[in-house]
Amino acid sequence: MADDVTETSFPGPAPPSAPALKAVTCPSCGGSIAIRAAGYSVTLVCQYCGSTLDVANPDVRLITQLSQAASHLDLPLGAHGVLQGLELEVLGYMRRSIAGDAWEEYLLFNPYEGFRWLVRDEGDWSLGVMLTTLPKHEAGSEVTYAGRRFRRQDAPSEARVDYVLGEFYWRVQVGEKVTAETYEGHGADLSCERNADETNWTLITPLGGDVVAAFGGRHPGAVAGAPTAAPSGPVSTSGAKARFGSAPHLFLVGGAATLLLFVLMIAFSGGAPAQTMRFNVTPDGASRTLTVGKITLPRASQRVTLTSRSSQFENMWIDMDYSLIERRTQKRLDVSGSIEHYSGVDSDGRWTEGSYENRVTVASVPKGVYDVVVEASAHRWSENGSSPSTSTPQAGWDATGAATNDLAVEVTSASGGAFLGNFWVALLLIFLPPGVRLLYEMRSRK
Amino acid sequence: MQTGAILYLVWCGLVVTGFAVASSSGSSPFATAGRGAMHSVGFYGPMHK
Repeated sequence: MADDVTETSFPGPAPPSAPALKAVTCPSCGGSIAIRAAGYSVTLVCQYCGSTLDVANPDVRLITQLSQAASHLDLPLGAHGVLQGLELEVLGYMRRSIAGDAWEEYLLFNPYEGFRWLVRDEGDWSLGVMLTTLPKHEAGSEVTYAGRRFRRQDAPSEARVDYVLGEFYWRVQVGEKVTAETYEGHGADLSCERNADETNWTLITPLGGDVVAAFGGRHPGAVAGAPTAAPSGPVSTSGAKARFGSAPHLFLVGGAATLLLFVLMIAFSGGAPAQTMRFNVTPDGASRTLTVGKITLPRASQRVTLTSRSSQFENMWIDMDYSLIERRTQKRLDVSGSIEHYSGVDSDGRWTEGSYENRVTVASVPKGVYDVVVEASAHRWSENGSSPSTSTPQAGWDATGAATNDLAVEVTSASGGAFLGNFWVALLLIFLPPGVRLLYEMRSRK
Repeated sequence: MQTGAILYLVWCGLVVTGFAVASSSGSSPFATAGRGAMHSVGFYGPMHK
């Protein structure tokens, strides 16, 4: 434990003089309770029945009577442990929350060094030391303390006490609210809490090691009757961040991964130079079948892209049936596409549809030498199915243009290249976790 | 190092490796044809009318 917790260089609160240990009887349940910081504690929550007692006066007064079963804390009240070389005793326990996001705080006490806060947020521990000198506000949302710079990470939020047990140096009660904000520095946070009467600053440093064992406590568990632990509050988000990393850091890692993926996709997607062949096809005439290129695929499997282009026609389509035929095995891979373009005029005015270019991509084509064979046939579009006249356009349709002549078609075959769709999916998968983390952080700051 | 950060690094490594390998082998569900491609039903003619 001592290896994990190092002495902080920040000044702590002025040490009080050693207090006396005093025992009182709970007016509610009759239990005998020790006041461990007598003279400093003003409120004591009975560890047996949960009633709140006023222990500031010699005659202990019942503030709130609460009938509940005795609770057992992970760090029992009165337990002693050593943190950062300092022997501390557990005085009190609070569960606090912001908008339902809860964390736990133990009030610790050393007769010579004063109070400390032990904060547990999502299972991570950190130690809070109350500051006796105010941090200095800098420009923007930064403060400096002991020569170190802290940046505000949360908007001010209302923190509420949900559960309380043990003794405290102020009259704490369930429902008590303060305005809390956290300033993040390197390796430590500053927590600022305000109410109508005062402002308290606490320096919070993460703790490693088995804190529960250091106090002779039990694993795991929470206080019976207390709300279930929930994600971080702003008093210390270091715990959550210590485990998951902050959203900006995750986005940075994601950006690096994206860059790496981009480079790898380009490096791995190389292929053979493209081959282009041109031929003519007659509208509503016989189809033409010809070999338009040869593709050699040296890798185990590769992408093949077939692009066909034509122009100077309207309201026609050209069927393009491609076959990749492996020379040695004669295995064939068939895929089809079409070039189509339509235009006309209707009540809304002029319209066009389709494209003079068509691209088909064939995934994972096995290694081999392939002939690219295409069967092309051109057709005029007719609403009623009959072949329209080449000279008189159909009502509402443009003339078929130069369709009386053969149409020039250009086919380009190429191997390699990356699928852009793959890249977008990868991007989504990479940035999903930091996105979720960011939403979580934003929700926590509300 | 944080557990979550390590897990995220592993996740990024898997995604980058997986998609780099897919790119190398030319695999994609976005292809028109071939292994793993999502085939669409062919349709000819204008959608306008």
